[in-house]
Amino acid sequence: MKKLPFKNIGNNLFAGFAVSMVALPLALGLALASGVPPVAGLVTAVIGGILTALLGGSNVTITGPGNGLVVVTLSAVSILGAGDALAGYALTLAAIVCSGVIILLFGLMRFGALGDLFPSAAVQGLLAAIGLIIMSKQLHVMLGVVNPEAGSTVELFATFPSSVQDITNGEIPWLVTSIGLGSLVLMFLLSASRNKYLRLIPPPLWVVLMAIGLSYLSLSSSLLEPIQPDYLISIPDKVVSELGFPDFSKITEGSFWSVVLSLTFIASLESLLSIKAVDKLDPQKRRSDVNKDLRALGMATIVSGFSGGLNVVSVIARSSVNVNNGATNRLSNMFHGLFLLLFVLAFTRPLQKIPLPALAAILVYTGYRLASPSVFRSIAKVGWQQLTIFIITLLTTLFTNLITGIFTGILATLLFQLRILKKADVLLRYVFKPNTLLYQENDEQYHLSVKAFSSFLNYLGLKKKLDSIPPSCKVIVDFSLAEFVDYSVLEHLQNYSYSFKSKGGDLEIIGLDNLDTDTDHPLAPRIKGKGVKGYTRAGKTSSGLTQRQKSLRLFSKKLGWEFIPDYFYNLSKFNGFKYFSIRIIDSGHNRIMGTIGSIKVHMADINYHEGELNARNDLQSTMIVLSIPERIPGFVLEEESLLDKVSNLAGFTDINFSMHIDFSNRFRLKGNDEKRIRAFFDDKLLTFFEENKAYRVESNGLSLLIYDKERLNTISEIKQLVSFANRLGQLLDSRLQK
Amino acid sequence: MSAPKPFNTIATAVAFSPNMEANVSESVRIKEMLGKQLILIHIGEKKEEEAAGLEQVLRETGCNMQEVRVIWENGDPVNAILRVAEEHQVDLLIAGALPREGLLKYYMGSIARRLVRKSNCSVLLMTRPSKLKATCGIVVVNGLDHPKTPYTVKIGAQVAKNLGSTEMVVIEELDPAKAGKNYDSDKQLEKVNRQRQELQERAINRIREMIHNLPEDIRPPSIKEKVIFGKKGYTIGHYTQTASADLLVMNSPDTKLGFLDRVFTHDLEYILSELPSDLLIVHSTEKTTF
Repeated sequence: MKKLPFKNIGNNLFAGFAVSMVALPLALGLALASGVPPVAGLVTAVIGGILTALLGGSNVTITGPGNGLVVVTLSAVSILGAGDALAGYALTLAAIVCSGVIILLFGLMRFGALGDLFPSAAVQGLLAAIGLIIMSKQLHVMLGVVNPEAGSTVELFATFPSSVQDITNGEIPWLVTSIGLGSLVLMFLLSASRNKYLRLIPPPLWVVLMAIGLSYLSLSSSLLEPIQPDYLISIPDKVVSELGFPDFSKITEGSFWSVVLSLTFIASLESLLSIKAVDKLDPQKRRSDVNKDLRALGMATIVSGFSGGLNVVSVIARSSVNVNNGATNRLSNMFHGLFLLLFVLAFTRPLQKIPLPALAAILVYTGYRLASPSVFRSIAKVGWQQLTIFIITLLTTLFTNLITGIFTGILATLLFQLRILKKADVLLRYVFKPNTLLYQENDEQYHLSVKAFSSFLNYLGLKKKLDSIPPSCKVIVDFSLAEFVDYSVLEHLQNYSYSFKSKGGDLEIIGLDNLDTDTDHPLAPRIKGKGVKGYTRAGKTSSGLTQRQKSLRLFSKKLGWEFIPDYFYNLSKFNGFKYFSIRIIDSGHNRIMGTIGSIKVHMADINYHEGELNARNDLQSTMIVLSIPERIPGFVLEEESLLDKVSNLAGFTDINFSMHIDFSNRFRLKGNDEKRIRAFFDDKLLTFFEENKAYRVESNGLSLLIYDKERLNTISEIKQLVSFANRLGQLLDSRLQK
Repeated sequence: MSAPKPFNTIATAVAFSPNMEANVSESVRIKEMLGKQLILIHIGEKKEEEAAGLEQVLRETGCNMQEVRVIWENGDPVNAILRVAEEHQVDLLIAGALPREGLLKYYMGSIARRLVRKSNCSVLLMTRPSKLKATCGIVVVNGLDHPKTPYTVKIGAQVAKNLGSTEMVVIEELDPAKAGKNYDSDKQLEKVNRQRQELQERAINRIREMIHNLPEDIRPPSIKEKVIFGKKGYTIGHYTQTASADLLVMNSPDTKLGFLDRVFTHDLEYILSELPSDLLIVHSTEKTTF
């Protein structure tokens, strides 16, 4: 057992609380969808949260029941129980315990790296299939058909119209259906909203609270027909009474072990993917020890299985909530577990009033995030081959099972690679042979040369080399001796590049220029000596400019500044600001560059995201960076909101100026070096801010980041933004001249 | 100032083929740079007209005819070459090799490979087209911690000097596992890297001492040392390729390479299966000379 880090208890208590509010409906819903008593989901989250934190899981990941496991657990209960749900539950618990043991062994044998062995497109296809499988059943439940008869995913989709007919025939109370549909609408609307106050309560909790409210209302009001217990979640008064105990009687049977295998595979894969994704979100950019995490998850799963719970996995959506609410270490995971325990014990009665369609709506939304059209679009952008692999995996998974699905995906990827490489022997010869060379060029720089081909098949060798480099160093990955580099490798390298950059190092890829590709996606596979087909870039010619771009060009011409519409990926200018410590910048375009005296101005539409994988939220914003040729103190300045006033009461520091009451009231100014900040905000500057529209202004010590909204600005907004930046720049420049 | 030549008697096999002229003149050129005598071993029945033709080619190279001998041999080429090498105290055999051996040959054994395995003298494997010119660029020499290495480095330096090479790099390959295999967490990574730093310094000191002991007259203009963590035998080949070096100099294998060595590739096998450049395998005739 590792010592818990008792730092920032306050922050982590709050984050843990926020997560527990999301986790409560999810845990209940995921358990229901898995065909086990809803309380089992809560047990998983409580044990998962507390134990993994105690046993030393990674920093800001949240553990509990996972999306992927729903699919496996549901089929396990029906296969092992042979129709008897209760027996199936007990037998599945035994399989869960066994999978926990195997995951623990994986951790002890340090197999964590194997999670990277699967081709990216196939993994994405698998995840999308999981989303569709979850949706296929929950769509019925959401409409009020709580026990759809059809078994397989395909049948479930096929019988959906008949469920709709049930509603129109009046077989289902209209209130139940409306709660389901309303909840879904609410999930979509609230998740898209960036309103600070609405976001105080996470969308799933809004849904559950409103649904519970309606449920009580229907029971007490004479206007509404009371919702029948069939449509409500079943949680016994004595919460633990429904929990099962593992039944190991089928341990000698093959079907038992195939369930164990599926549980282990999906639990490990989901956990490893989440852990890596969460590392990118961690504001402190720590690297998780995946093997230690696997060990902790394995042990937590064993205990969870014995207590009637499901597999404990690392989950991305809840971890994203955790990060967004200021978590800094494992304590938040533990608090999330403790809060859940508290909720269940204290609010058993209200929880019993949750209508099933509301939970189903939350799950439909979760499934939708895994298989949304944007998932298809983003993979299609990489190229048609990746899309084909993705779809093959997706369909095979839907029609067979997860394991067959992923292996078909691997096979499809392999066949594609053999086909485009043409020379099968290059692939065969280097699968088991080393093909990487890493040496130190000087104290700060490493050279990593990759020979022959680099694909998911031999990626582990490359990964081993990359992992051995201190992340504060610069690495040059050289593909000039390679003939083929695949999508999975380039995607992994993109992640490495991000983690190196965030720790003061850098990763640069060279040698890809001699290799050809058939799309202009930066991660599209590269192959030597194939003709470049259809390589046309959008937006290169002036005739291809959008209206907005044309206006921007005209506008920058007037200022005497330069306008470049192309996408760019070197975003070092925009990095290093606090706003981007938990958000990840992907690319920028529509650059406008100019100078104000000695100050350089960069404006661009920045594409970035919060959260990762299915919890990913893509954002765009128009931002300006002023590079100041002199060191300035670091600070964050934004308009003070009601929320901030509350948090100010709680003792968060806001630097106020007694001579400028208007400024002090309107703005919240935060920073470490109060003395220098006070010196920097002189009379003139304070007056300037008082007189102008309140933009968010952030300093990283070298430059100022100015932006307004978490969306792209219109031309008139840009004009205002630029005028603001221009005058601020002039003010600072005149100060520099003195 | 020309350095003492690293070899005495150089031998190579010739056969009548369209390439013969090129092969002979190349061998003569290498002899001029690296050795005192050249023996051309002709495999096949001696025919008067062929002997005359060969003499003609030799004359055209403008070499000193006193220093070149032609020996006619029959039978299996490898055995014949080895027999001549034994009888005439040949200390360097030159053989041509395909840059990468074909899949079939890889398992059956080519002439070059059999020579490497069976000979008791140094072997120079030339790729086609050979890069060894009068002035060659970088020469890479292995710097393994092994009793044979100082001699190999000495010969390597002498060859580099005589070939007019600009730079010699002595490479030591260290097993990455030596510094610990576990770097799952940042803390462990730091520890492993500290350990690697130590191992690296130790290896560099050893190589520097070896270089320091080289006689002044055989030193190429620039000698560098590099320690690389990676698979033994593979890493140095890959480095040779990335550095676009012209010659790789390696110790001779301790055990005769057999069929199993190819299935379980190690050390020299990685390089033999895919020659990164011309390859000189140095057979130690003396124990450490300094």
